[in-house]
Amino acid sequence: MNQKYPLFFLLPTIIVLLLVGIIPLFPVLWNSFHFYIVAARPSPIFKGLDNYRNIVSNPEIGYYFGVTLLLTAVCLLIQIPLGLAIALMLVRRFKGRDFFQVLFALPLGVAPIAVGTIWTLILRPEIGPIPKILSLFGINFNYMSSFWSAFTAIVLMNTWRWTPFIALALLPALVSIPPDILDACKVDGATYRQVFRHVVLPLIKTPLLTVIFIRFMDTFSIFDEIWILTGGGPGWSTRTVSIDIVRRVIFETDYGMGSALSLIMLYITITICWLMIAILKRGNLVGEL
Amino acid sequence: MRRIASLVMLIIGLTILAVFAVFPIYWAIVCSLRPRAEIVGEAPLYPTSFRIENYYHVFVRWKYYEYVLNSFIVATGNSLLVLAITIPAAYALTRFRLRSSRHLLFWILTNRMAPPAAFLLPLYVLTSFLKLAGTYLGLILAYCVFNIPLSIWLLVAAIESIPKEVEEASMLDGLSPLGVLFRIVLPLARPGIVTAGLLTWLFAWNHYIFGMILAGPGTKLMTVALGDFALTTVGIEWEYVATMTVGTIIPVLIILLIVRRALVAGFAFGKI
Amino acid sequence: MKNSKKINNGEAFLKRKMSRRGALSTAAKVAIGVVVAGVVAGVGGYYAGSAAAAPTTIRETVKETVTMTVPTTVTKTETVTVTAPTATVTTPTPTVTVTPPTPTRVFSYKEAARPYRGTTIRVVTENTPPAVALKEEVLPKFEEETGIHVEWEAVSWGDMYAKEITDMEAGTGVYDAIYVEQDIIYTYLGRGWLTDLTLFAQRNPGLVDPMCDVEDFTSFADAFKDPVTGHIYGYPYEAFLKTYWYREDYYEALGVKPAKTWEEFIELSRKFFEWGKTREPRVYGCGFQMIGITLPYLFVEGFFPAHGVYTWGISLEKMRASVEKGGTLNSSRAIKAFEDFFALRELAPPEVETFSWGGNVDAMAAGRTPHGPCEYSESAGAALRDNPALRIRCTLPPLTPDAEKEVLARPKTDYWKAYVGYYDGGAFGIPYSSKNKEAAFLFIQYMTNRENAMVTATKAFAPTRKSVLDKLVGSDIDKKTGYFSLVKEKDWMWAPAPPFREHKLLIERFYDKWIHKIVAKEVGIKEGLDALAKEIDDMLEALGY
Repeated sequence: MNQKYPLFFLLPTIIVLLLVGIIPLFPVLWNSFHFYIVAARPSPIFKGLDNYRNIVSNPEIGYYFGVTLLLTAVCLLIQIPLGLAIALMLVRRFKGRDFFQVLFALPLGVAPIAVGTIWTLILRPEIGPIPKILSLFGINFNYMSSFWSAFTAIVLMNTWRWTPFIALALLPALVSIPPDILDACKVDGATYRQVFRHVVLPLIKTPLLTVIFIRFMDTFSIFDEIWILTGGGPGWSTRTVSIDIVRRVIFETDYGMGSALSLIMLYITITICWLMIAILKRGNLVGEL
Repeated sequence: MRRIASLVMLIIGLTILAVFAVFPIYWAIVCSLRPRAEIVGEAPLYPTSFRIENYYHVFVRWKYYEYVLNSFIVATGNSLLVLAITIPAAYALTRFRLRSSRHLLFWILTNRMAPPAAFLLPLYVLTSFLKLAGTYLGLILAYCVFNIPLSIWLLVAAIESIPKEVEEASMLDGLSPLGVLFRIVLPLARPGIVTAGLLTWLFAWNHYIFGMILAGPGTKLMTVALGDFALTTVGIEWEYVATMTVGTIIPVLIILLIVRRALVAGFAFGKI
Repeated sequence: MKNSKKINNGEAFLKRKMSRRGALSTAAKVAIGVVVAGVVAGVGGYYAGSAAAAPTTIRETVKETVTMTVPTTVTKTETVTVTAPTATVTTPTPTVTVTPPTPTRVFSYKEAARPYRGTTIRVVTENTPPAVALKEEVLPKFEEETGIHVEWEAVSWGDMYAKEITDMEAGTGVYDAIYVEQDIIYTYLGRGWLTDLTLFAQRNPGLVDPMCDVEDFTSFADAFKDPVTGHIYGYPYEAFLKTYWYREDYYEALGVKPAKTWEEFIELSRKFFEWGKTREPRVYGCGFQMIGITLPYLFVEGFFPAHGVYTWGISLEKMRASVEKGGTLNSSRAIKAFEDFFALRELAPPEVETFSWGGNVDAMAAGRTPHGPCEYSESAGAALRDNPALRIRCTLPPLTPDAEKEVLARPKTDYWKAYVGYYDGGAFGIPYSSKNKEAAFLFIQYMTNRENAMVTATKAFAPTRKSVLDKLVGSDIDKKTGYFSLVKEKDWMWAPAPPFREHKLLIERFYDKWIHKIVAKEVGIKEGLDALAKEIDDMLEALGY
């Protein structure tokens, strides 16, 4: 094969990704070694690793990471089983299955920020149907009244938006399990649970792990929905890492710390990427990769 | 009997879930057609008004169609650019056994995982340095960060599912790799390409965070305008928030409904 | 077994070789990338650092409160003669003798704008009632008369700052006229980002509108003047007091008069809370802004000064917040401010936590609360516009005896020494990086001249000019609300934001966090204030004060 062609084919992609993905990181790296608050002092002051030291030792920043990880864990724990269950429900062909699939696919197209506004419309005390319904039972629901209520609201919103994705992503894999295997198992007298654990799960391991992987990264970097729904929570309690970075960069105009936090977040993301792919590789689950 | 019972339970369960999935969108549409007094008051669940003037107000009188147009330009531009550069790249990555394929693919895909918030400042520095701050091109380039990996992922899967024999035969017939790409692969991979194009368009249209700081007054995006409306400090106008939300969703819903089969397939990552 | 082991070894060896090659190629790419990026980083870093090196035409002003009176005589031949400053210690702003303007030449916007017809200028401002009024009523006239096209961007408060700061920091010249609030003016001045309008008027006499005379502005304009030179950097288009507004009809129904002290105010609120239980719909005792960033502003703009904690608790001389170092932030007065707040919080409607800047005024208009101790008068103006039958009135905020004494005792122009509340508002300024300064200058004059200032004054309760104010005192609206009389007689008791360059940083990072923690009862009042003061002091020290 002529070796020139692949290079030409790949070059534009590589150039663009270098341009927007790698190169801007260098001035940001430079910024992260400085005390650089735009609105306070004109020129950056070199401070070495101060920003990073602050990130590592500051308990507040640890809190933001903790909240983000907690949110990610809870969302995953709820959405993956739920999505899988829905996918299982949709495996059999029954009349109207397509109709249900269309309905389930609707949340997929909603922009994250629109998700935030829609759920604000639903959860706000004075205009939302949910608080009104709950007030009939005597519960005074204000999702901004405490950390846990805001947290629940965020999880609810996120579940609504992403469970259909999980279900529809796992569905093709489930559908493609040859029914003969399942029939054979039934003949052998296996219960549904055993079939699920030992036959179905291993067969869908790849897309399942991929989906978990994608959802983990996406929930870790969540921003739009929370920005609209709680803006960081009551006080600063639901301030995830993304919200912290955006607040620092745009409102506090602290480019120094903002840069350092951005790089740390990228570093964590890439490390987790590596780990997950290594795990997938180890289990021989990723073919070419 | 058991079969029927389980089927009934299934339908009930799915119905509840379907209602849950659709209700928020339904509620947004209902709210967008109501005057504010009804939204803040005893807003009942069933639609009570049909004030289509809300839409006229927002999109025509306040000229928000400009923002829709901006979003459309950026999304389409980005989708076309991404397709143009990733189709050859995906082809190269799958068909040409390069030693660096694996690493390249890995690097490209990790870009998809990059948190947008972490790229906010870097991209802002880049676009202001290149004097592209607030221009369409700046946004189109910025969106490449997450759309190129997505497109490559989908296209690699699509191209791999094409049997190689056709290509090999045509290459034996003397067709150059470029020719193979255009004459053989493109038509055969068309569903995958359409999916990739539509999904990249979707993600570009829905994007908010880069638009916060990279879009200037002339290129303000629909999503950013929606955000402004919902975050305004002087009395939030709920009916217009709902109207703009629906405006953001409608094009996407239409696309979803039209090409739903291809999209559902596109959502399945992995090599099944 | 042996074979498979060999194969395994072979595969492993091959893999290693491949990965070594792969590593080499990756390394080569990285090396190229590093070289390229190193160049870019060097240039980029230099650029990022030097983007701030806009030519500074003013000196550092924040260090001491050296004040002086600068008597200036302004003749209408567009020359400003500034006589040598005599260093007497009063206020940081110059007092100007008012000479009624006698236009000595004919000025028309159409003629002055002739060279600039067809240019487009971009304006960014906050989405406030005065801005809305200007956009709807004044902007079309301006565009028609001058032929200058205006791209008007009205965004939320946080976005506006973000856009302005990023534009001016990078020097990209995106905006030609910006809204400068009087708390951010010091930051902008400190960075040299704004055009000196006095100098600009001198250098472009043909563009000066005699109806936009600077001396006619109320004392609020002093916030936009350089304390040393007296030059002005922004023409105010909205100015309003944050004060005590109440529903007159509710007060009449209960037969009460407005409160003078905080104790009276809390008592009144309790009365209303009880009385409101029987009403349909339910009326509560009081309300205030609480959501997100509005909460710290409620304190620094309202509760603190009315309890005798001025300039955000940070002493202007010592530039420190904690009592030990000369500030007042964690003093007993501040603690009392929070205690009074908590007393009122119990009497507020349940959704008070979602109240934004004008949230309580909306609630008052809807009849849910009877009054508010610290409301933005522009919100009241907007509420009246929406519902002219609304009966609301304003008066001085409730004060502690100490605060009242100190305010009455201080010289009228030395407003930061003691004040009752926030003199809010903003001006139009021209960024130094703008590429259409002349067209922008015409724009900001048009928006703020005598004729059009009447629009913001009447539509949004934000009078910026003495002439306008004089016309409005005694008008129907004044008789109904008492607002313009209050401004005319007592506006000296209010003060604009203290002159901190880092004010955004302070409020976003420190006040926001700790005040929310105190209000959420996560930490005690004293501990919270102590921690807040300490963090602020650390930051101020790090900044070199």
